[in-house]
Amino acid sequence: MRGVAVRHFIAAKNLVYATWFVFCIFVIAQVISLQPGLIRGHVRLHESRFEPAIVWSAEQRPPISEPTYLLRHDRDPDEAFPKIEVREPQVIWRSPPINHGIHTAAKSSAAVDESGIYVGGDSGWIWAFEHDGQVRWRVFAGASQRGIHGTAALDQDSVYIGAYNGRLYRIAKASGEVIFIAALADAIGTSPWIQDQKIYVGAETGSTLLGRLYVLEQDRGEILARSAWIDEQTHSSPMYFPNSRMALMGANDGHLYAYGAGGGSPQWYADVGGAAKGPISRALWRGLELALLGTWNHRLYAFRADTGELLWSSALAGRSQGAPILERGTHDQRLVIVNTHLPNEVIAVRLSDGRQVWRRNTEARINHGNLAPVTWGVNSWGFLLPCRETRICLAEGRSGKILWSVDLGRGFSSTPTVHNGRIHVVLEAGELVVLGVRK
Amino acid sequence: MIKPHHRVRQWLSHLGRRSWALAQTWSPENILGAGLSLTLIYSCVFWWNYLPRIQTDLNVSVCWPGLNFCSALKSPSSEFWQVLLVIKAMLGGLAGIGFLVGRGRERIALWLLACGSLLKLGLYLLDYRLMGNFHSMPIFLSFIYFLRPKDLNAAQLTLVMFYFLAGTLKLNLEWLSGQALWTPRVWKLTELMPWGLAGVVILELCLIWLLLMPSRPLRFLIWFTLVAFHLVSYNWVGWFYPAIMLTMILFMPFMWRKASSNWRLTRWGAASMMVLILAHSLPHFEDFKLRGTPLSLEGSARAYTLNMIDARPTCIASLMMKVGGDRLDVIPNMREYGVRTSCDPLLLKAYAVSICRSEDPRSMVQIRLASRRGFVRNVEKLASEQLECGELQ
Repeated sequence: MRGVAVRHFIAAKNLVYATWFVFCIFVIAQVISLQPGLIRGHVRLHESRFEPAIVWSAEQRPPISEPTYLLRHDRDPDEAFPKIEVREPQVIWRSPPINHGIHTAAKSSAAVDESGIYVGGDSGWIWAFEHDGQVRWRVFAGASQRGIHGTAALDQDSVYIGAYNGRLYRIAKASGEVIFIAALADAIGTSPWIQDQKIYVGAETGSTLLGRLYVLEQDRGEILARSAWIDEQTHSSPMYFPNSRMALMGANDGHLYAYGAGGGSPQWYADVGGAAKGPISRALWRGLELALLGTWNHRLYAFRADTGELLWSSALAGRSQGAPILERGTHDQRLVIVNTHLPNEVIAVRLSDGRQVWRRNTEARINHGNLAPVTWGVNSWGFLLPCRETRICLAEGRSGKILWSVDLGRGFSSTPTVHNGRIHVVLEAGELVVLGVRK
Repeated sequence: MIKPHHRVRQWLSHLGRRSWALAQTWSPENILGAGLSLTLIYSCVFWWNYLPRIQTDLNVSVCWPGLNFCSALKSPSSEFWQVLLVIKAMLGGLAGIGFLVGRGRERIALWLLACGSLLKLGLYLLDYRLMGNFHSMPIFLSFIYFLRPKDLNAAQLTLVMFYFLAGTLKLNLEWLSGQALWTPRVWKLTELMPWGLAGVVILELCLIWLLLMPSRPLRFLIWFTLVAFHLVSYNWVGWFYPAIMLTMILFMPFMWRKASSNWRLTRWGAASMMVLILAHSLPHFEDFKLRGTPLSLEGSARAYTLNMIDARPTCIASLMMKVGGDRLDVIPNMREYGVRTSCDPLLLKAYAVSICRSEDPRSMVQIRLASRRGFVRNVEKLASEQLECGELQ
């Protein structure tokens, strides 16, 4: 009987069934071992949000160094403002057109150091000029409908600039070779900040409005850290506060966020009532490190950078999204000057308590860029600003009195950059204009 | 005097009776033929805008490997391609009617189906971006059907093999974890999804064979499970894929009406199975495994077999162009042409060639493409090449 049963079992049909049965057991075992969330009822769907990546990396890279230019001249409260001559300057040269005038965000400012002038345009081109106006090279940041609005950061050998295609570029100053491209999000409208061989930059998505801060390695662009997503876009350029060891960045959701170098969740965040789109300024006052920020809530805020405690806020006439500038020195009567849009004004308040000292109407066509602090003579200081329709003006810091104005033909929202006494201004729809006093 | 709505009701009732009487005469062979004919109409709708967009884009041609003449067949007229699609749909429609009406018209219908399928194959091979198993599967089944219209065992085994081979691709962490899929369209089903995803793998690898077993209740059970699976899959893949699959498996219950409907292995069934297994093995052979990349990181390794959404690669594509002293970071929109071909080196190179042809001959384009699976952080290099534009002009 047993022999018959064995013969029956190994009959071809049953062998097929047995093989199929063993195969099914194998498949079910594989499924159970591979599917981690089966019992817990958990799945991880594909995230449609942006996955950052290095999309270009050159094999040979120039060395990295300390920054030679960052967007805000007053990044170090102990550093003197750049010097100009108080006499009215003249136009020395104009570049080919840089901007078409699309999009309302403030335009890219000229990043200038000894090696040359570097500027991005809303056309998507990044330009490098010699100081005499010769074009050294151009790089096109593709697939970017709004081109470039952030300002470049420079070190000895490289240009770091973000574009509205969501990519941060490191480009060799000498040759224009692209060293790395880090694709971080759908758009980058902020200006990168370099500190301790790390790049801090804000990036945002367009399909769903989100923003975040990235911390990248300066050399290769590898992503070291990223903040959690903020539920709105981040147009405010981040700034690192060395005493508090935190990077601060505003967001359109009406908050100021402070992140450690590890990214993740904010160390603290503060409600600023309206979109915080402008760069933040740093001040030192009575041993405290302060963050100064103008917002669309028609207010200027001063926070402690280490704790986020609000020290004061001062009412402004209109929206503010330009970086406040801070008078040099250590005394309590130092002024903080900030500009507003609609009405287009410049307002000076005291650093100690935010009380208003003076205000002036600029009569400018556009007034949402940054003011540029400058110094002249022995102790005089002031700032460059857009004024009187299409002019650039020099205003005296303590009073706001206009000392001179030069017609540029068009308005500007970029920050005038002063280097070796020359003033570099990128027009809203037009070219880079370099002004200086002819000897 | 009969009221108009009564007349309509009478007419509808008559039509229903005639249709039911006609349906009683339908053989499963004719149902399969009609179903395959219907897929020609579906693909006409599916390609209506997409195919003309690709074929009138005179700048970019992505030819299938070995069919490099495809760029010469482009036409600037959208209407030309839409006329071809209408002809294809009409061939499908007439063939379908022929199969359903029967009475000796099956032979004509079979030839109409063959002509329609050949036209579809021709259009399919015109551009690599049209690749998709929802096109290749009906074409393959139509080919088997045309050669052996009475051999439903071969058709049945071919369909079982489609599911089985698709199941082999899905036995991976990315599918089972849900990472290959995106947010559902309509029904969220979050709680059921882990079981659903695991169930699909078990259905396609194990239970699908029950369609060939003698037990009719089991066959019907699996068939209805397949119907439910395709209906739910609309949630992710839209209407086209489920419509194609449901139409192709529609003949099975008609086949099982007869008591003597037990499946048996036929010569054509075995041949079909061998061809499909061979095609499925191709990506594993060195000559076909483009640059030795793992499966599903790109589409080209699967161009000749099933290319399911069993994983979701993320691609990192760059075209850096040098024109005189200028450098241009040209960002190709790789996502534009669908999940399956979006990470394909063929696609990126075609973009590079098209850009190169319109530029100064002294220009050059550097291509870089890397891709990674959903769960893997490391990216794998798929392409790194430099094109001298002068050599392409």
